[in-house]
Amino acid sequence: MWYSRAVAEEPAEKERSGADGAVERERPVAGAAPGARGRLVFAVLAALVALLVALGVFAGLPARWAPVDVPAAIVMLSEIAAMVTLLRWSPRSGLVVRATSGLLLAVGLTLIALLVWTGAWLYGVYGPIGKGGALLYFFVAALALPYLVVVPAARLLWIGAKKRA
Amino acid sequence: MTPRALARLLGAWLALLVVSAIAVARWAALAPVPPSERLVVATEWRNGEKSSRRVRPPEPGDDAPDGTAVLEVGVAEAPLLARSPFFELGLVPGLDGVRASLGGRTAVVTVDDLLREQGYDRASGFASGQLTMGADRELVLARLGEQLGVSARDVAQRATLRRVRFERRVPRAKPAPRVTAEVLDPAAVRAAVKGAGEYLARGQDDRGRYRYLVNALENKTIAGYNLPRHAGATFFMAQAAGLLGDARLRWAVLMAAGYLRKEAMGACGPYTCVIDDGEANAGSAALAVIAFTELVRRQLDDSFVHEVRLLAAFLRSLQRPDGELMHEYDRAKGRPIDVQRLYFSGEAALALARAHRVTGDPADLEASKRLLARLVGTGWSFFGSRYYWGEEHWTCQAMAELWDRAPNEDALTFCLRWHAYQQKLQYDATDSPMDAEGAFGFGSFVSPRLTPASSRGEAGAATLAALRAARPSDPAVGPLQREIDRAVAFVMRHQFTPGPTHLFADPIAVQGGVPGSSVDWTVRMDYPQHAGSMMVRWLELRERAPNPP
Repeated sequence: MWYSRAVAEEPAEKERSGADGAVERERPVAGAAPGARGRLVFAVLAALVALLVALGVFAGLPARWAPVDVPAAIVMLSEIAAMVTLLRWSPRSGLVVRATSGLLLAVGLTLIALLVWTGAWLYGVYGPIGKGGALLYFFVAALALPYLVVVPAARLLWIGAKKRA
Repeated sequence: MTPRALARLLGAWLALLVVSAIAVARWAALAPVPPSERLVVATEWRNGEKSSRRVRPPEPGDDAPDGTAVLEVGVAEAPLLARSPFFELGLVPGLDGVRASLGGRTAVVTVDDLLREQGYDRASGFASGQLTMGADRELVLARLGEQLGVSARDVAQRATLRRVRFERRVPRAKPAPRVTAEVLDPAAVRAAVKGAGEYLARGQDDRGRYRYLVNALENKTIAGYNLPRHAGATFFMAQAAGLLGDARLRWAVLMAAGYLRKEAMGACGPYTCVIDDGEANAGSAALAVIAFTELVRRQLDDSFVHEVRLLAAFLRSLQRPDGELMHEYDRAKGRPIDVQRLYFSGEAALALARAHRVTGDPADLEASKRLLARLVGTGWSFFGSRYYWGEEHWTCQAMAELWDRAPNEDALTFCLRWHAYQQKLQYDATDSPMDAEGAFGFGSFVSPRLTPASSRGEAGAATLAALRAARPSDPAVGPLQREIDRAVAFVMRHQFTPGPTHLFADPIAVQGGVPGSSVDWTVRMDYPQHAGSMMVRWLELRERAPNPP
């Protein structure tokens, strides 16, 4: 299995016995691959984001429209690349993870900004846009937030912490 | 990235987003125009057509004009983007028009222009095209281009567009008091029932058929007919004729029922059914039974008991062991087809309950009870069924119809839940810039339809009658009464009584009609039917309890 090989190849934290007999953990040196568990978690999340974007845009939306479809396709491919990179770690993987995370975060923040601006414009035109309309916007934004903002932000923090370590 | 850097990035983004969103909302909002700077569009209308127009500055007396021109005064303005979909959604239906400026010239498309050309809620459709939203951009740009002497494309690319909120002032018009739930008056509701009935009667042909779909502006009948809707309209006509004791309506309903009896009934194997375009189904038969039983109950014509017996037998023959009905019938093979269509089971449950009242046949009562139990029980039992509802207006009328003979507490609870859900969707005065108070919907971008308000009000009144019989002091009584009052008031405000007559080719022909919405001025025969039936039920409730909570 590709993912089990990825886990097996991970240079795991090594244990060694100190002079007093206590077990010490050897921290990974700078530039080393991040922990296998972390990589697996973020790889699964990347796959989930790619799947949700695919379902949400290409199966859920009734019409094809380039301003939505093209960014969605880019995000999907980028998340698949992030997933593969996380599972098959190489010296350049950190860069790829940072780039894909930055892209996803930028798309997420842009999407939420567009939703908020659209809501603001509709509020300007229609005044109170109805309880249902306001709730709909809130839920769309709330649904996008975990996958398009929280996930890439967490990934950036995680990879940043590994780099600093 | 460090946590601090990320926090800074997100914080800056959030601050920028809040400021920019406030700026966008303020930019798009209407700004009042000082009275001396307002745009006044004075239009002479002849038989619904524009005969002359003058765009001018305000003059003394514009507030109460006594000439022959209808004035539309631009009281507020805002920028309007020419790009789609901002243009389409940038105009509030029925309230906003457009002003275009290009090369020192000005062109105006007013609200009356857009209503006359049915340009609102036309841009894009969803729900299989039944719901449309957005102003017709191509139409507006074309009309502006004609006035400016340029193409629609030039208007879109070069003109400066403004959204204009217009107020209409009709010469010598007496301002009618706004109908609201708080001031609903039985005499006015009776007049509205009469108006709806007279609208349907006025359009009947010599076979007893109504006008199915009418473009009210042109007074043109659009091709097509539908027997279940004919039967539904006949049900209302019987209610109205009985309630009002009106000889003209009585004649009209007997003509309409006669058409069903003579031209629409035929053989379905060993049974008698209603045949619509060669096909037979439960819905047509059920609505015919509902209409015929009303004729009998209102003592308009007892002879229809015979047809009620025949059609009720057909409906019973479609029932499955679990109570559900098979909705279609294969006449060639002489057997039912086990498919289910929207409304049909609720209609059949009501039909059988009403049939039992005039035939006394216990089989009708039993079939109705089983069907209702299925509709409110296993037929609507799934995780999430409290949050997702079908169209239950016939089901709840069936529940109420059965209440004195076979009360079903589960069905009453089901209907109360459905109405509690609907009450959450009912607009209050601040939910929409349009005149939507009392309507039902999810947002402000589509003008609320009148018929959903009518059918919910109709079912609400039936449910309230059953609830009062079961538990007069139930806490749901007050909210239900308020829901119905608001729905009745909403529909009455939009009924053509007589409406903006200057836009109609023949205002008398469509007087009393109930349109699709405040900006969709087609009248299908079931629109006045549901509106009128709701009002009849409201009046009957009021007779039983003159001082509701």
